[in-house]
Amino acid sequence: MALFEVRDLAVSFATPAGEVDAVAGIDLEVAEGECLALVGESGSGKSQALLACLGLLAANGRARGEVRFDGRSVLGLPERELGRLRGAGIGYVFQDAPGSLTPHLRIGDQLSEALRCHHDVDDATARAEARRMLERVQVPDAAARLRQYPHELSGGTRQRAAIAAALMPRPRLLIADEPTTALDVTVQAQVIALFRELRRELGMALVVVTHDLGVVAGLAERVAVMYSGRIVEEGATTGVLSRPAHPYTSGLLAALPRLDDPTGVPMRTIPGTPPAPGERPRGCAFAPRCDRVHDRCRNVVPALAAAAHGRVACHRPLAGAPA
Amino acid sequence: MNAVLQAANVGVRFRVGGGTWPRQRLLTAVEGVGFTLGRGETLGVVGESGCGKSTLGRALLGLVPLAAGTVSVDGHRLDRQSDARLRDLRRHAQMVFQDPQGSLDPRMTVGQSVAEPLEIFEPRMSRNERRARVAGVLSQVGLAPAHADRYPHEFSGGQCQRVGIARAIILKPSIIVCDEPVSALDVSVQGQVVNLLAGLQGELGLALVFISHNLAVVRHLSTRVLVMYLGRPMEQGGRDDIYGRPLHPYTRALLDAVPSPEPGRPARVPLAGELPSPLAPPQGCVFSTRCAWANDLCRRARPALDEARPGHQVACHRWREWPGGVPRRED
Repeated sequence: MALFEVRDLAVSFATPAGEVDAVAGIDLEVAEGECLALVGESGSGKSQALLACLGLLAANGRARGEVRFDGRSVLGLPERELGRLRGAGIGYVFQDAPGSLTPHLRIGDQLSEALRCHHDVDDATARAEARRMLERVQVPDAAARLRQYPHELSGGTRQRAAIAAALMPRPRLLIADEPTTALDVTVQAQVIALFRELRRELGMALVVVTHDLGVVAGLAERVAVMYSGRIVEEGATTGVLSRPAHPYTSGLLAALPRLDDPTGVPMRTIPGTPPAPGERPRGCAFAPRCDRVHDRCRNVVPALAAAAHGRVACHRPLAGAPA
Repeated sequence: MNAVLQAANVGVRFRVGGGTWPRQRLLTAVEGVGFTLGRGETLGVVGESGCGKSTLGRALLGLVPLAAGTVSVDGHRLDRQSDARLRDLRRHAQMVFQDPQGSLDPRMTVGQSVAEPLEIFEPRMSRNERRARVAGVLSQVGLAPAHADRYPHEFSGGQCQRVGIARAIILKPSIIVCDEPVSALDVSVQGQVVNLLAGLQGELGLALVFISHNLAVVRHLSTRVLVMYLGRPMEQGGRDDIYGRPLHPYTRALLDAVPSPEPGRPARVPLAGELPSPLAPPQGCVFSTRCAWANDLCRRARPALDEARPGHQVACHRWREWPGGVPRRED
């Protein structure tokens, strides 16, 4: 049985312009100790889908479908029980994690509070654990950092502190939303390596939300690619990245700037922009940007169907051609 | 070469700490940067946050005072000009900012934002002419003239960055400094903006300064690359030299840190630790505290910026040991 299971999750927001679907029915599964990458660009619904799983949607948001953690249904749980689940069951590292630290609390207070909210330990134990956790996420001079405020730390250290805070209650699943996006490439590499070590040491499951396929390759066993509120391709990372079946996945890979790209020619891009959630076209949402589009694509939403390396939602999938 | 932008030994310092003299300290944000940039050329400036690359960009436009050195635009030294003349020089040097949405006034239509430089520099231009110029640059950056009446929140990040570029080119400048112009954009859109900048550069003969932490993006646009660390130039040279045979260990580390989507290739961690405080830069080579190759000399003496080959400069004591490029250290 999967540790974390999402079935037909839909998220919509009530706006002055009417009900807008941010997520239009997705399935996800994460096994104990596994790492899944959820890939998509801004507006694809990847963050909202995961926030919905923890009951963290904005007041005008509504989630339907089925979310199970450890066999228990999560959607519709009373706030008290949700509060217990968040943190202790599922940890969350938010997008702009450095900004999610409380500015007027010392790092040590924030970390020990994260533990004491969920476990019955005394202050001294919590503080000792906070220090151990900061060391585990490789913050240099951890003892001194505990006494500092967030603004006194560098961006990379704040990121590590936010990860440490999420890890304090020892969650079985950690969800990290764009954990490397705001960081320098050198620090990005450090944080990716840190996640790999933490998984090995703590055996926790991990869902990484990212738009960077370079991050996916170094971290996740499985990947799900979202476009405009739906999953368009999913499967084993190796298969999906080396032989993408969906034209969008293939386009994303081609658009990723690499050090061995030919120079003197334009960078490869995907023309156009993703549709706004309220303006999704009738058929496949990617059709207006797709170079393989035909009539059926414009009229019928393709369903996720078995493909060489997993599943793909496309009427004319690529036949496993190398990217 | 016909130099459009010239910098010699540029230094920028900030007073920090507040209060009065005994508590004030001087922070060296940029030191010893020099280069020459001609029409149609691009200088890529790379380094981690806090390396002084954005401050350098601002110094090149005369937006922060220089503590040392000189900057010349079209052969005119910025520090020797009257205010009126400086204003005039500034119209030739424009800037594109990192945060595409945040750099546009949310209460102004896109057309008003793009027209603002014209109102300042060509106040006598008729309204019709101004509107025509705005429509012209909007289509140059791939937007429709009708977009002029919309507000920034109606646009995606990529479209806002196009607006930012339209505003930068409306005065027909000879230089544009782009400060991380694609970092905030989605991957599928980044290339569109890079290609747009490359196209405009060819069309208008612009000299570009392209500041970025993403070496793979910089490589697409740059003719020359300047690698900075803690405000100092570490290495500088033609694109093929920097990417093909980097002579500075820091350049090598930055190159190795670029994540690759090849499955199964574990990400490297080329650089441990953090940037030291610019208030207390390490003695000797500023990179020595994080350098895998540092020896006693490196920790003691600041290396000079040597001309390793014509047009390829490096500030490292040990570059002669690897004339074909810094070897990779296996960890």
